[in-house]
Order: sequence, then structure tokens, then C-alpha cells
Amino acid sequence: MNDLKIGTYTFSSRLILGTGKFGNTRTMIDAIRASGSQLVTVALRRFNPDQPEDDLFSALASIDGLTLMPNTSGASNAKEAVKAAHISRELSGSPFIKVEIHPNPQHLMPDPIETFEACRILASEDFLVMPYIPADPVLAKRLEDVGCASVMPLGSAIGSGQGLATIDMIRLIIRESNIPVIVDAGLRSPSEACAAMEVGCEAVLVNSAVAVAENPVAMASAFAEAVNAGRRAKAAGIMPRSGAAVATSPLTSFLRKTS
Amino acid sequence: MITITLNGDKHECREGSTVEDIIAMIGANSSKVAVIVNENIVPPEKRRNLELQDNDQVEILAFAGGG
Repeated sequence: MNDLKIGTYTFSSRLILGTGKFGNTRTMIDAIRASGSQLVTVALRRFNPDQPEDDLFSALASIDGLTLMPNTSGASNAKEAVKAAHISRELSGSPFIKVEIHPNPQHLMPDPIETFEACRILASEDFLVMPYIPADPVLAKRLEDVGCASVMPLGSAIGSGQGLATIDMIRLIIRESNIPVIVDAGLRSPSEACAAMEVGCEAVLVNSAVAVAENPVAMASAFAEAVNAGRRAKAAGIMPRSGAAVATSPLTSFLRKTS
Repeated sequence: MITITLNGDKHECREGSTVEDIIAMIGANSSKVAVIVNENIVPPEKRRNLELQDNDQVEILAFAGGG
């Protein structure tokens, strides 16, 4: 299978893992290893002297070949997101930035106008901009036009586990896009990740579904297999739907009485 | 003594304290945190010599888990 290409980076894994909500750092690291992910998201927070283990830098550095994609979580407008991106690049040295601007904590839906403005600025500053967006093909195209490295439409609300509620819109985005389309948010089970890959997503980003599973390490492995299966199925050419039954066995009439 | 705001809380520190001193004071590793003073990013090579002033706003940030 060919690699995922984002900017000048290539990844053999098409599963991007979020690092939030894990019970402890050890489990998170084991889950990343089990997932085979080479690109993981992190968030910027005030340093907490009472919980220095919150700092993931050392733990993540223990995994060879891992690239960090800081997010702009907490930003409620473009200005704050750009500021978070600058700080994150200073700290991580990574050009990746997941732009997420969701001003309403009740639904965490991304603000398309502020997201567009932040992406326009950050793309001009040579970030590899990966915006978390509503599943809107018009917005996705506009973000491609200003130089985003990918678009990441939501499957459903962050952390909701409601799956690929937007799959018809994601199909439209894929049809129009010349940059990787990555489903981000809302996935609950590996079958949904597989379905996202089957319709032509280049990768999926999963966090809660792995982190809050009873066994996050096993679930990370299951997601990796599902993503691979979906990718291979897409490449193999999925049969068209038919409105009518089409027999798989010969309907010869040798069992019938002949006159 | 001078008073700075560190990660949202008031702190007193001696005059002439540098950014590096403040990082050490809260027990952070300088290579694993970002530092912002009065909205400006302070890169690692400037932290040893940058002295803080009364009423400076200092943010010390690190990466945590996030999706």
C-alpha cells in the first residue's frame, strides 16, 4: 500500500491518534505503539508543577519516528489559534498544526469563519495546516485553495461516538479534493474507521474511541487493522450496489422435473 | 522584590530574576516548555539572560494529552 503523503512527510500508517483522555501515560504510549501511528496530536496547556507527568514530551520522544501535530484547542478565534500555533511550533519543532476553533463548549462545532482565517495565515507561514472542520465541501475547497495540507471534516461531534453521521458530505468533499481528506472526530468503533477509508478518506484521526475503551491498547490495534482493511478494500475496487438480487450460483433447472 | 503574574497567579520574586530562574522555580525542564512574556515568545537561548520586570505577565506552557 502506498504511503500517506502530507507536505514533504510520508507515513506508512493512516491512523492518526489523539493523546487525550487516556487513564495514564503508560497506557497512552502502549496504545500508540499498538496503533502503529506515526502522527499524534497533542495540546498546549499551562505547565502544572503539581502534575509534571502531564508533560508528554519525554514519553512521546521514547517512540521512534513519531511526529507531533499540536492542536489549537482552547482557541475561540483565529487570532488565538495563530498564537497557539506559533507557540506550539516553537516547542515541538513540528510544522504540523491541527487548527481547531470551537467557541461553544456545548457542541464543540468548529467555527468555519475563524478556522478559514487562521488557516489562511498559518499556511502563508509554511505550517502544514490540518483544519478540523464541519463536513462542508465548499469550505473544504476554500481551505485547499489557501494552502491547507489536508482537511479534516468531522464524522460527528467530538467525543460523541455517533460515528459517520456526515458520510454523504464527506463523499462530496473527497470527490472535489486534491489534498488528503481525513475524518476527525466522532468515530466510535473500528468498523466506522474502515467505512471512512472505504469511501476514500486518506486517513482517520481517532482519540476517544481508543482512549476510553475498556482496553485502549487492544482497541488501538483493532483500529489499525480496520483502517488497513478499508484502505485495501478501496484500492481493490468495491462492487457497485444493485437494486435487485443478482444470483451468485447458476440457476440451472436440473433439479426440476422435465416433462 | 517584584511581582509577576505566572500562569495566571501572582508571584513575588527577587529583582533580577531571569526567565530561567522562574522555570527552575516551578520545577519545569526548560527544553520541554514554551515561555511567553508579555505576549512574546522567549526562545531557549534568551531565557538565561532575560530579566523579568515588575508586573510582567509570564506563561509557561507544556504539551499535554489532546485530540
